Amino acid sequence: MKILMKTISVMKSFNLKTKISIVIIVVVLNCFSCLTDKPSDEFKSYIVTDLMHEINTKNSKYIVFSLYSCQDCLIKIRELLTKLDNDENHIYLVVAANSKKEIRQFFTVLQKHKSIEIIFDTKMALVSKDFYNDGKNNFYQYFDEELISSFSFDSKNNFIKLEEILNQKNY
Amino acid sequence: MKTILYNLLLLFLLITSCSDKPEDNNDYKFNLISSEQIRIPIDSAVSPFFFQSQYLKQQNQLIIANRNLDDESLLILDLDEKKITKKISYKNEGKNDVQRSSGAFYYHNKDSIFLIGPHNKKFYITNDFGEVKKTIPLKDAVDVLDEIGQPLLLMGTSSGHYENGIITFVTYPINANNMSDSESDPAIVHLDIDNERITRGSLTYATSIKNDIKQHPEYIMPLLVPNKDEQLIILFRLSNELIIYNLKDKTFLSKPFKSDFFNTYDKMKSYDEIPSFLIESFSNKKLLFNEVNNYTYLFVSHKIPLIDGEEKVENTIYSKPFSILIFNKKYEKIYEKKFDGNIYNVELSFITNKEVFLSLNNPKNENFDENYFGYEIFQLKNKN
Repeated sequence: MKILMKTISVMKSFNLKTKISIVIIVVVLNCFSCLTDKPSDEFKSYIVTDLMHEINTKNSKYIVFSLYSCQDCLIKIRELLTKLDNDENHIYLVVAANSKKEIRQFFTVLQKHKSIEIIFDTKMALVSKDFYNDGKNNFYQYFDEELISSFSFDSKNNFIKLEEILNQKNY
Repeated sequence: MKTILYNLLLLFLLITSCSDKPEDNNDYKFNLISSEQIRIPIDSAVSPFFFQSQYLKQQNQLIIANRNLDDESLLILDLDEKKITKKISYKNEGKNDVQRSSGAFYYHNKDSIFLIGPHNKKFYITNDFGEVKKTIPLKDAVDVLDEIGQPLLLMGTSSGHYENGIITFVTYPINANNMSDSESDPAIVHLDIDNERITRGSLTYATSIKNDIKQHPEYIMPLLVPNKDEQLIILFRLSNELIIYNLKDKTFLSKPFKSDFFNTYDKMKSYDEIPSFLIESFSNKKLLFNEVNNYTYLFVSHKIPLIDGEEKVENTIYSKPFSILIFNKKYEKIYEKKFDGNIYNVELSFITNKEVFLSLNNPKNENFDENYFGYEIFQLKNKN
């Protein structure tokens, strides 16, 4: 699309026949580039389209889970975030539940953390996503518009990795 | 002209053959009529959803297990005053520790409130001050704990009964992933509270396995409700046979029934269907007994496609229509009515001595407000 727009702006001086030829070539090239694009990031689509949230691409960490997943995981996530001593992070808790009230009730203690923001998924869109396969909790980190880290975790697997990455001071 | 008539006839036949089964059968002598809607305010610590509740017929109160993960409490909802009048709070530490009972409770009276810790396998006798008066480790109540299945026990509405010092409740099989190994697991057990001994009920999971070997994890445990005749009415989730279980001699018999809206309960063909089967299946959801008129009420959830219509909207359990079947004292069906999906929440619905309270706390309901328990109240009225 960018190529198309740039081309239109520079071809004002050409005659009509040339303009039409260029437009056809550019449109074909543009379509071809669409087909060869990287597969869409399903998580990004979930955040932007389902939850209407603009991804913070500077440096942001997303912890994604359902409030109805294992209680041990929820309690460990909350404990980890409560004792987190790293205000330089931008941490987003993306929580799926049937009501905002239930989410707020569980994460009341996090309200004082200015660097932690809750994104509510009260339509439970998460549960139908492929990346939520088998009800796993997920982590995503973006830096400079690039996804630099993503993994699944629970109270036993990858939890130390999550702890380390949340405590990293990246900038 | 002849061709036009022929085409019209064909069109008529096509339309009538495509239409679903009737929404309501007008032959019944009764009708469930909506009388009013009420909203009961709940504070910030009370979840708008709950799994377990128990109606106390003498007090006209509903005991509710609060689903707030940080607040292990029972709420007393007074239906005359239409407000929560008491909160019984439990602790997760110290001598009154009940270690997350996960909402499994049975309220006998204010001095005998029973809880089960499914993870630590303990049975607690508590009071309405939240004090633990006695703890029974379930492993000490049987010779081999595995003999009674997993003590993932449920009490409260449709799942427990207490009489003469013995509490009866539903158990979960030992190996739910391979039900063929669970044929001899009891579906219910009886705990003698004074002697601290558990005995197996005579009804085993063989009864449900014979019709359904690959059981969905959420459809394994049967529904249970006592009637007035020292009997339990038990129903497996994908069965059309009410089991009348005699508490005195532990014998039981079956009473088959049929819905107006479907012929058979689909069975899950493979474990790959686990995510979709909850939506795309008929299932028994709630079994209640009204001691005033001796009627048994059954809530059956109807199947719908997981993905709906051209807009490809994904359905959830809250999208599902359901029907209420009512049985007389002989367990003959005397009434059935279908309700639309996206409006009511069957899990939170209950019956009183006189009425049916259908919860409006359905996340798909546009009028759902998380600061209230909303109900639409129905009365069973004779058509004459």
